[in-house]
Amino acid sequence: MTTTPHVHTPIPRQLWIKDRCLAVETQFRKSTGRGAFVARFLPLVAVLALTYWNSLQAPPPVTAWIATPVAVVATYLALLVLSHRFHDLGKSGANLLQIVLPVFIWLWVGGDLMAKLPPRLWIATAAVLAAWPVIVLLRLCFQPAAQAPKT
Amino acid sequence: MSIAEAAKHEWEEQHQHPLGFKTRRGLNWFTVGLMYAMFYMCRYNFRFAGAGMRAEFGWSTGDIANLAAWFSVAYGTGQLLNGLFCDRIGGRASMLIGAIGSILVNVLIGFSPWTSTFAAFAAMWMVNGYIQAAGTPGMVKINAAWFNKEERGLFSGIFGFMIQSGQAMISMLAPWILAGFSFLAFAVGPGEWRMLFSIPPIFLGLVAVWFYFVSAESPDDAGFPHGTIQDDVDNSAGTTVPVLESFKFVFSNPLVWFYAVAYGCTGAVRHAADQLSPLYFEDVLGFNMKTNLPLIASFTLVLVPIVAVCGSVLSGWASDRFFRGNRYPVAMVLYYGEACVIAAATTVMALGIIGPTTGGILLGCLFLVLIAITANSTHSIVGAAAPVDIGGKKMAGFASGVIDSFQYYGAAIGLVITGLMLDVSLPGNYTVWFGIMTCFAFFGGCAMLSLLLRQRGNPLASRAVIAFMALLVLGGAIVGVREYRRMKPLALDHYVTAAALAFQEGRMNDAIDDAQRVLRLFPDQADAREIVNTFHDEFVAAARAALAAGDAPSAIENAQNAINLKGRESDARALLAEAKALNKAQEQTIQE
Repeated sequence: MTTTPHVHTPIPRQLWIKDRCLAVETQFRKSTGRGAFVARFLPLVAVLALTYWNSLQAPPPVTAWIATPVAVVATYLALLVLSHRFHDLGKSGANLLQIVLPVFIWLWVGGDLMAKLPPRLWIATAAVLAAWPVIVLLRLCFQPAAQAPKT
Repeated sequence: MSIAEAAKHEWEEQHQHPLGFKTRRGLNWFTVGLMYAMFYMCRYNFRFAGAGMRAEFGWSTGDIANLAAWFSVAYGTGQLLNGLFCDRIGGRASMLIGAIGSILVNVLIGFSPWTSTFAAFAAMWMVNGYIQAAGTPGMVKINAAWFNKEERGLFSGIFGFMIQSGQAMISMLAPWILAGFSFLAFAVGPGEWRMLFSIPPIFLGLVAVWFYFVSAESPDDAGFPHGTIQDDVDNSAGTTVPVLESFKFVFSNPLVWFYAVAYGCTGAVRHAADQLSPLYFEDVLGFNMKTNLPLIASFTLVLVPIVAVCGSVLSGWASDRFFRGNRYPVAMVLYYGEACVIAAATTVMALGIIGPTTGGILLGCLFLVLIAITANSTHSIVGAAAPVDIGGKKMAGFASGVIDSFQYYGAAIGLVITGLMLDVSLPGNYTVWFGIMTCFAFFGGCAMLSLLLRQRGNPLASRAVIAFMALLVLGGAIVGVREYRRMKPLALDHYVTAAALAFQEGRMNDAIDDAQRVLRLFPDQADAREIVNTFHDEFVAAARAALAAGDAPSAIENAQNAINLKGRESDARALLAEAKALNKAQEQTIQE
């Protein structure tokens, strides 16, 4: 078969799209230092808090529909930043468990505790479970990288 | 390691792609697929506009059916020609030209008053059919460059999903448009069917802009190194070839014709099942499809597209993983499976088990679902994957055009034969419907068997199967004509008696249905002609009386009924125009 040979030079727009696609596939492989983590993670937490506050302010028949996509995007970005910081510290699994496990424990037994225990006890339990992830997150803000950052 | 695991392992090893490629391909496929789904929106909008056009222009149901048929002819022919040009100009250009053309034609119909004549509308709609046919070759060609042979089966399954999603989108949008809506200062009243031709092009236009900026013709164009995808036909750079080269290569390739014949059979079964199932529900299962759709009918209608998509994806995936990208073994099994299912339905129908009983309804619906799985599975792998395998990235457009055009020709032949045979069948007997579909499915299986034998290096056996197929056509034609001649006088006697009885008992709808059926078989039958004339005159008289009394809606309804009875021979068209003018004047008075 005879075909004229073509030399393909991709146009800049296509290269830009390719870079975005590369970024999508490699986005969870990067690492972030403590300063960058603070600068990125705390504003995202603030946005999440704002969307929650917004949903509390909306009267019952009104759905805070604009807040939903904002919250979804902010959660996704927060997880992304968190994973980058985990990579920087080199202990992704342990750190993730320390943040997630208390939340799961509370979801699992919180209702029972609130129903059966006096307020003092279940509030104290909730405080301990809430403090644990907060301490881990604070540690992420200050702890220097334990190993050479992953690329 | 089991055979399945070994096949999976081997497949994964062979399909390692550079970083970012899968995401870019996913984005490209999504964009192209969305564009194709939008093409469907500017084509299936016609289905929903039929009632409005009939009421406004006084067209009969037959006129609407003729428009759909002309569209199919233009679409099938367009596939052939546009496929050829698509290989020359590229898939992106082809899809963009198709989109721009379809937008223009739809907008022209939506806003132009001169499309009110039948000839003008038919011409416009045929142009739309022709230009829409640039979509499929374009889409198939773009994806040909992005998938290896063993990945295309799954892609073709998703192609089935895109078709269904386009239909689903217009099915949701059309009732919303017809119900009337307002957008900022723009308000549209209910029943404005022209909006069905004005709104969907907006969506197509928006997606076309997105398509223009995001889609890429090939991985090379998207910045990936040449050779990322291996093309078995021609792996040199570029995706376009001169028209003559594509024409010679595809037309002289025997594989194309095997697949085209098989795809014609798919078209005959798929379109017969799709288009006649509402009538089957009413006539055989006793459902009221117009006003009171039973739950099981709704359930079946919802289930059919879902199982169709699942069948498409599964068959495509199986041909990729277990048959190294060869479509004909899977297609052959599917065609023969389909023939077995429909043959079972034919037997059960002939025994009188399918009918308006609980068991009969369940069985009747189950057979429809099974037919949908098998028919749509072959539709995807033969219609979308096989042309790419044959033509590669450079000639997939024309290969797709040739094969896909046969689907529409097959559908036309199948529907004409089925229509003729159903006309001479007794009420509630759809045995011939299933019987004809069985023949087509079996014929498709034979085409694939013949191809299988040929590819395995046994040309003698392959030719023997082809000879058997020729005998099958001959035998089918002889048996069919003989059966038609045997059934026609029986049906004529039955329907003449039934029409006369219904007329005497004052059952107007039954009398009209039976009399019109008799006239289709024997246009000069005096009794039936008299019944139709009587009711026509009654409708005309009622329309005149309503007009004289100033009751415009009643006059419109009666004039429309008269037109539906005698089509263009009816003299009620002037009455309809008069009644509409009165109706408009009355509405203006109320508004003032």
